[in-house]
Amino acid sequence: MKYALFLGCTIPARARNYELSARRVAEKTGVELVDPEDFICCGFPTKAGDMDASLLMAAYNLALARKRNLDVCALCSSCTSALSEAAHHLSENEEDLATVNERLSAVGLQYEGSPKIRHFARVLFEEVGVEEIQKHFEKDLNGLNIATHYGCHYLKPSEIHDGFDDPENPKSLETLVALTGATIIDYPGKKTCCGGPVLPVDEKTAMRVTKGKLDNLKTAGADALCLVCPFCSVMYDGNQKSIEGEYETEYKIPVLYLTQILGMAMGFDRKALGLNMNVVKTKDLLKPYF
Amino acid sequence: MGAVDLDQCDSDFAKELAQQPEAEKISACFGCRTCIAGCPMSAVNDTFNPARIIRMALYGMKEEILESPFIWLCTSCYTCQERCPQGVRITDFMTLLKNMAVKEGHEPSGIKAQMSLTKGQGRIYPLDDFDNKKRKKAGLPPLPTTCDVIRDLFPDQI
Amino acid sequence: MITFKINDKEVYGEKGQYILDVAKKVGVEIPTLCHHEALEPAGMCRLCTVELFDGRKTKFVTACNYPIWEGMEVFTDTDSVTEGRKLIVELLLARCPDVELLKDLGLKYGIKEPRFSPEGDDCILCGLCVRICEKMGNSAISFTGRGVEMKVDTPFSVQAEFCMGCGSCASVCPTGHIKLEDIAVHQVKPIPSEYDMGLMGRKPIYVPYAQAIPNIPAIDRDMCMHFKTGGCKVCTEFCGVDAIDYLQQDEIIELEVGSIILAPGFQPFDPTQLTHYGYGWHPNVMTAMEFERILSASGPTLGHLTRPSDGREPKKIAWIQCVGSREENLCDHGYCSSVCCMYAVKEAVIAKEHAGADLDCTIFFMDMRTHGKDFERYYDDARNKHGVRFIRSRVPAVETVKGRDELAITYVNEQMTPTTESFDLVVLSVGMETPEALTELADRLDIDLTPGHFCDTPSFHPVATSREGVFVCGAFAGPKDIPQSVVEAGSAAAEAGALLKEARNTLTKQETFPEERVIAGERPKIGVFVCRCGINISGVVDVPAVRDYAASLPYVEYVTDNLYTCSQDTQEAMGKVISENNLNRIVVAACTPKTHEPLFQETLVGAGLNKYLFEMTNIRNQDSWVHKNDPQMATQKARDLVRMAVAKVALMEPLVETELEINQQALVVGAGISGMAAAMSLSDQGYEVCLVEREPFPGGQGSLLFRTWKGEDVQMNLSQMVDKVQSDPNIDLRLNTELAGVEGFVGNFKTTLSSDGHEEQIEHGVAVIATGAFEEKPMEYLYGEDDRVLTHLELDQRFISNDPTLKEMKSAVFIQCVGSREPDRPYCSRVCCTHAMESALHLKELNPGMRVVVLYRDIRTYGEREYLYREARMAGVLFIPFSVDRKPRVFLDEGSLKIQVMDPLLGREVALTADLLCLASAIVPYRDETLARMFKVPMNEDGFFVEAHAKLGPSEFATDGVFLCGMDHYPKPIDESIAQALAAASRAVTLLARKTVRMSGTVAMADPSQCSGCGVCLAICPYSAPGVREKDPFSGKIEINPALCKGCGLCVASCRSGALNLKGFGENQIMAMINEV
Repeated sequence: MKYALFLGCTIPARARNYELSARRVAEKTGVELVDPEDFICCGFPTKAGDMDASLLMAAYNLALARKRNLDVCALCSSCTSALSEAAHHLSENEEDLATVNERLSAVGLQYEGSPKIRHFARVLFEEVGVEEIQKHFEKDLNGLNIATHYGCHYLKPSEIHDGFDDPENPKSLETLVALTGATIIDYPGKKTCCGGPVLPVDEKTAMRVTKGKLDNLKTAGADALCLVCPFCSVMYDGNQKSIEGEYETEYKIPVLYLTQILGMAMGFDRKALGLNMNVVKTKDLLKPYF
Repeated sequence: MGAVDLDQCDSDFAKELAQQPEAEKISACFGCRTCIAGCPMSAVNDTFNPARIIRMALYGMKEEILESPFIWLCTSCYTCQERCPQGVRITDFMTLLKNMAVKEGHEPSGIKAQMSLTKGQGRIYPLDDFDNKKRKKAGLPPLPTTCDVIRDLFPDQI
Repeated sequence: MITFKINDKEVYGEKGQYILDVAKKVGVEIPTLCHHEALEPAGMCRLCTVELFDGRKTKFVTACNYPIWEGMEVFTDTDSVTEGRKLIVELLLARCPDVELLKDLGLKYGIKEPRFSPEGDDCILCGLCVRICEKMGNSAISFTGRGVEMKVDTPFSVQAEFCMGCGSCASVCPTGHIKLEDIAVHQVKPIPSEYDMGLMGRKPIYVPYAQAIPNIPAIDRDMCMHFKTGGCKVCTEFCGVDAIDYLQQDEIIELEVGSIILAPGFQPFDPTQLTHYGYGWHPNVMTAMEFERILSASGPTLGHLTRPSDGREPKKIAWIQCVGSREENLCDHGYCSSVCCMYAVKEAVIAKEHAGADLDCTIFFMDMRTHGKDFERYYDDARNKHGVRFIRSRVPAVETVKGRDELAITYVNEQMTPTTESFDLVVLSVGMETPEALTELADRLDIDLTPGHFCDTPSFHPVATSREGVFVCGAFAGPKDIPQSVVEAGSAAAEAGALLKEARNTLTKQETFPEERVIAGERPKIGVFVCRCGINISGVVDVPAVRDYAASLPYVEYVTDNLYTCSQDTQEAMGKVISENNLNRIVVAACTPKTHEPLFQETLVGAGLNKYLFEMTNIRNQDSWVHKNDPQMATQKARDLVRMAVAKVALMEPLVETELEINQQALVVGAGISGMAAAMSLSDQGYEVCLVEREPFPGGQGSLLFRTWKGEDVQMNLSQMVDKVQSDPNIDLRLNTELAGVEGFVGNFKTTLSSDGHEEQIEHGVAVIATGAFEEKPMEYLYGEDDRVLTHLELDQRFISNDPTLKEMKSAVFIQCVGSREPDRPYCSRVCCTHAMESALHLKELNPGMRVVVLYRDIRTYGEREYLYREARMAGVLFIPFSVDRKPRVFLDEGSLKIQVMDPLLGREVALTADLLCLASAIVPYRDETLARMFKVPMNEDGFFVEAHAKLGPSEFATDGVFLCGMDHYPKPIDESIAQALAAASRAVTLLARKTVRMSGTVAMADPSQCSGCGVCLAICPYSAPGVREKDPFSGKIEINPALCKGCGLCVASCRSGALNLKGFGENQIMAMINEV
């Protein structure tokens, strides 16, 4: 299993903890990650303003990977979705394919079909497999009540993700987290969006959506929230305190990446997993496991 | 609010939309409200209502839609598109509306900023040497702080 | 034969039998614990020990497996035997102190506390489980160990791979020790009952459901142990008539037929694939079919409305409509399943009736489709009277949280924002679909299917498939409800009948009966036959005692008991008995008359007796089956029932069955599409028809229509119909003719026709009423004040005449439900929504740039008409819903026709100008009360004729010989009108074909000398049987027409003069029964 690691924009800037923990887990489980230096933004942020630009940027990244005979593995759900949607669109729309290739020739590339595009969590679930993952566990996370947040672009739109997990009744993340011995907490509104994309437009409305889930997590008794997308983390982790302030309430729910959770079970220490970089403090909750 | 006079609306708008693959099925909408029920935005902000937006489009209320602040509230979570019983690609339609609004010169400042960063710098969060220092400390490989390719991809972006 | 003694009484047995077998037969009780009828006796428990005297000495033997021999003397309850039994019970009780069975036995033998120390076991080592597992051919368990170590176990004490989980060990274990989960490796679960939607289990041998035909058990070869191991066959040991044959094979039978009718039905949509509803994993999400079983008194919960998860009564139930229908995205079923709206309303109302008015029932829907006869009223009552909540919001998902019980539904409220509510139970209103196997069958039969995979039929031949001679009816031809299915069934029969008319009666056999013996003046000589019904009756009731008791009753001259009175040989024996003993009245004490009364009556007739000299009394369903626990009282009741029956039958007189000749001509009133179709069908089936029309031209409303919803040209098809009718030698078409009067009754009508002042009387055997309905002229929306405002038929005229001004129009608006579904006309006119789609699409065809808007309350494009709705939307037709309390405003503004309506989704009013406003005006019946009185047929409050039975008799009247079809029954489109016309013809032919008809002898009779002429019976009779005598000496008094009387008894109960009596259930007979109780 060899993949070009697609980091996207948010992770190198604001979610190094995700990158750190993901690399660790990948190494342990035999997923080789290569780092092409010249990936650019996946195009997701420009989609709302300029779909054609978004398509072009995604095509650039895919053509680049294809040229180097590499498949693409992304850590961010939005990146995965943007790249996959572009691949899907270009396979069906000849006109847009021609336009894209015309623009790509300016940089010496051509899009001739997409490499395999995978979210890292999907690679773990489908290709590494639960048995292999469990082999590397050194710790048991018994006693930790974790709720999972699938987010929107990890599984939707369903036609571009090959139906590997059902967006209406998903279980891939819970299956992986449950392997560590942690208890999975189910809660109402599990499938609701984090509200992230609306943040630059209407912060208040976006936070209201985020708050909804935090309230449910609190009521359900979750100790921590598990994510697979850095943008969701911006909302739940980065903005948790301001929501607490705005609405005069308290959550203190640490937000952990899937790879941090798996990494913990694999025996990595706090530094290796970047746990100190999580905004909502994780020290107290995770003390018994280190 | 006053009555919507269909005679004054842009009757070509619906046709214009029907040409785009994202919007070619919006006429199939029969107002079942499935999209509204699942929409996380409609639940917290009553100015956003996907079925209402589709209806406005079908009526031809072009200006009202493209100038509105509410089309920007769609988070593209795809819940509506997954569930629509008539297969209307609602999320893609919202994205199309946003694009059209930008072409007409209506876009929120936040989106404008995102666009200029991405199309101008190749990243929405440009990196500098300080970032690379932090990366090195953490044992991570460095990343480019500039992006030349982006100028060739978007020559008209200033 | 071996003779020996039991308790000093001489008894007989066959060689090879054991003491226990004979003791059982003669009714001597010997207790057992390890005995089972189907197993070889093993003598394990020793409880059946008896004393045996062989002539010299006494010894103790186990009765179950000691073979009888000549002259032996057995004593079953001597002191020593009793002491021995007591000790055995005491020992067993000490071993298994908590087993109920042993505690009861202990009490019987006076043991409270055993003297031995308790062991806390619960297996008495009877070996029944081991023996039956062996019989099953499996032997997964056996006795292991010896002496005190002996126990029942699996090989090597591990769970057995090969245990098949058949459950027989657990079922025979007397103490409850055996638990299947301990023995079997595989998960053991009950066989899901297909009829009970998997909510309950069933056995491998089972009667599929109570109404199964034939109503006998079937063996499921896939589950039956015999087919797996070669063992078991226990069922054959219990079957008294040797009916079980394991060697039966599937047969392929070749039949030569003249026509085929397909009625293969549908299957309910399986919502498991729609994971967002949680069906299949959350126990409280169920389909409507499962809910029906839960509501049913014979279902898994015996009619108690409880939640599957915890058996609690739900407080809030939600119905989600359109699951698997009108869904193009997730399941490719874009059509409407037609029936779900109505069945959901019904389920909600009935649930409230069962559970009380506090039960919160909510139905989430898109459009409420209650377009059938009386359905709209039912919907109104559900809302207003029963308090069912109706919320117009399609529910896409049921939110379930693992570990939590509640079901959360998010829907859209009046303010157009999402809101969430919790429910205890969610019912998914699943639609209909054609099973895969059926599409394959259609392919093999070369039958065309529609896009929705239903059988494709043309509107003017609604039951004809694409293959000649093959007809279709029911849900396979498109989703539909019961009345519509029954109509199509009759229609298919008519088509097949027309095709095969030459062969009528060529394959039927005529039965001959001996002449009826005259018994007048004879003393009653009653024969009583008491049935054992296998062990069904004799297992509880002491049949011999009842038989002997019957012999003591007055007038009884012959008694006997039979194992199965209904069997063929018993019929023959009965016939002989009647002749040999010269019996003139018969009583059979057995099961319900519903099953076999006609059979016994036939036996009587075969023996020369009038069939009404017979009384059947039910000592099974009404006695042995319901008093299983009290055999003594059950026997007493059987005696009482027999005594009553004897008392009645003694007073029975032979009754005459009127034989009616059926005049072979038919009269059809109304030559619209329905009337013409009925006339043509009758003619095709070989009968002469007089077709009467009061207008100067045939065609009715049909002559005003443009196209059918399938796109067929109505005028072209109509003129073809008219040509056929006019050129058909069997059809006598009378235009400009009305009915002046009708006399007579079924088979013998005399109708006076009046035309241009001339009157003519015709005779006919049957009549079909096809008088139709018409389009009401609206009273609102500026109709009649502005010529831009039209009705649908007026617009159709413009389409037919190809009006060139239509192309120039820029804007057309349709308003639905004009005059329908209003307080003074609370019914739906059924056709208008589809008609609007047709017309809207045609306008778009003429001018694609035209803005076409439809204002509606509920779109009712049921069945595959839903595709037309989608087509209209995709063509750019706009649809705006409005509610009945906020109707659109239509007004003139400086000469422009303006319409303004509130769009709830937009939250604002929408205004537009129209060049054309088309109103879907209500369909209104003619309310011809004169005609109704002439044929003595009822009319409902809306003015439509009332059929015999809303579901099962939609094309006929309760009054015999009169039938109905078309819009005089209820508004309907062309295909449904023609289907009903053919069905009416089909029903009429069932009378005509028989040429003579025998009416039942149990009819009411009026004694004119007692009659006061009050007329109450006239008003009360639903069949119009009483008539006023016209001739002296009793003119003015009532006489009952035996041809129309159905023997319901209403008139008898209503007669205050006592002039009316029901033959066969006469007052003296009933009083005699009562006196004997």
